[in-house]
Amino acid sequence: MPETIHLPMGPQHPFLKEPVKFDFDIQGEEIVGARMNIGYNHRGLEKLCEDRNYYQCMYILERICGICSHSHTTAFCQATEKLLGLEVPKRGLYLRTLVCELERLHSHLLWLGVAAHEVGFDTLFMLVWRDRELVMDPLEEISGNRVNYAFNTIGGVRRDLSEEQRKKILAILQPLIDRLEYYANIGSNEPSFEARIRGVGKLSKEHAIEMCTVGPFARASGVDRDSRRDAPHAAYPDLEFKVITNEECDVFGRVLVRVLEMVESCKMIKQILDALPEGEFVAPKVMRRVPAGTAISYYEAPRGEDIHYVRSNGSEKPERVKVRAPTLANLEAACESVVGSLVADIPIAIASIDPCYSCTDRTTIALTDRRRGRRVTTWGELRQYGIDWYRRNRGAHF
Amino acid sequence: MVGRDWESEVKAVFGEDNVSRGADGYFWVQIGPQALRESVAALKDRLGLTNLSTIVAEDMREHYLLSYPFLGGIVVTLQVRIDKDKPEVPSLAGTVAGAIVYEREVHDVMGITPVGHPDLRRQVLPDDWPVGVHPLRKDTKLPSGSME
Repeated sequence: MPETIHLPMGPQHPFLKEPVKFDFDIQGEEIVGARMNIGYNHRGLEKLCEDRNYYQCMYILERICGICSHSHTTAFCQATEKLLGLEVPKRGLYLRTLVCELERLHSHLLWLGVAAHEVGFDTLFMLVWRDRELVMDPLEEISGNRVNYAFNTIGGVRRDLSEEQRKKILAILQPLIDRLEYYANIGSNEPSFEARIRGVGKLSKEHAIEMCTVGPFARASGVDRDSRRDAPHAAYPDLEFKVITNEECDVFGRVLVRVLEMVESCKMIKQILDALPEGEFVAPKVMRRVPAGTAISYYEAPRGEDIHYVRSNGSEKPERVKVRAPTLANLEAACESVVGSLVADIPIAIASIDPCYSCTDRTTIALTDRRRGRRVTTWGELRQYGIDWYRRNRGAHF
Repeated sequence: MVGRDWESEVKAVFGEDNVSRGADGYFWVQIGPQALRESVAALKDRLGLTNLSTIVAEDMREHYLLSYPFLGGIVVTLQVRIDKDKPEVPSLAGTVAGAIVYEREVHDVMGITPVGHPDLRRQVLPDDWPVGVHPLRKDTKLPSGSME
């Protein structure tokens, strides 16, 4: 019986893109136990929202995550619209869904590149990220930004889509589908890639259900669960799409599920652009005071269902905003799924849930600690600093 | 899901008076803390809902409120009132393994103890955070400093 060795990884480690702490117990090369600790990215956003009005909250919540920023605003706007009893114009819903699906494409492509990189297949990484630009360009063109799109608003979206933009997006779909089919082929037929991902990070269907996992991670374990179908929102009830599942229960399955999901996204974008309704894209009048009540809103983000719970007390500011990002639901299961694998498989097994820790840790708690010389800049101080800086260096007066 | 009369099914399980339905079709069920475990078992056995989405903790000033949304073909949210004098709730860790992380979070930010939880270490708060200070309680004054 070999000796059990404790192997800590993180919060800062080359295989991690964001801070999280893993503790593995290993015997030789085999992992026999795993625990995780999160909270290194906690920013207190839920508490901050209690002190802002709904529009300000939207911009705070957009900054929960850099990759799926549109997910959080969509979920929050949907919850607020429910509380307001607001009917969003059809065109607004379609445009919102368009950005949702473009975002899913870019997020999954980003993940596929990272996954290839984690197993040392950097050629695929570079090819995938080159193709991701096909999606980033229209996102930038229709929203003005590559990261935080600021596309949603309560009651619809902030920008309309021109005919020229519509044609541009339509033009990228077929080349993209061709590339995705090529990647699906590589994923299932390239022997060295397959050898690195098949049988790694096994999570059985029963366990996936028991752990309440979500998104592509759950679907790759054969769990037929997708909130676009189960809790219909945005324009999804009007669209035809397949929920992609796979029975492989390992990283191999997760690669295939994501690649095939992207093909479905391309088809959905085509449906949206072909049937884009005419008319308004945002509700004309939205009350700033939101009637008292509670609302839960589901949204299928690229990583799984994103849930926002909003309680209004009848004023301009929410009483409580709660965000459940999909990574939190998957992380514990991912951590367990590496037990039985080899140490070299840890990066790809953990990366296979597409973890996003800044989504998972939201809420700051910042303490001024004079003893150790750390201090926190308040919002007022930061604002004043900005004003002074511009006055000094740019001669601008506010 | 079409073809199934969810409203009467949910009401048959939890009683007519405890169930309300929002404009979006989501169900809200009021239960007591002692009925939590059997309600979750009933959701699983009689309605087929096993996917706990999250646990939301709220400070309602007179009492605390925990909400447990479940997603299947429908959304059913169990709401449990917790007395401020005794901030405890039975843990679901034994029946729903996915509840472990959410209960830890609730314990951190609102100070409600899930009784029977196997591993109640800190999750969101830093290790040097003072004991007994729960940031999302409305009456919490943060020690030694300000938070804007």
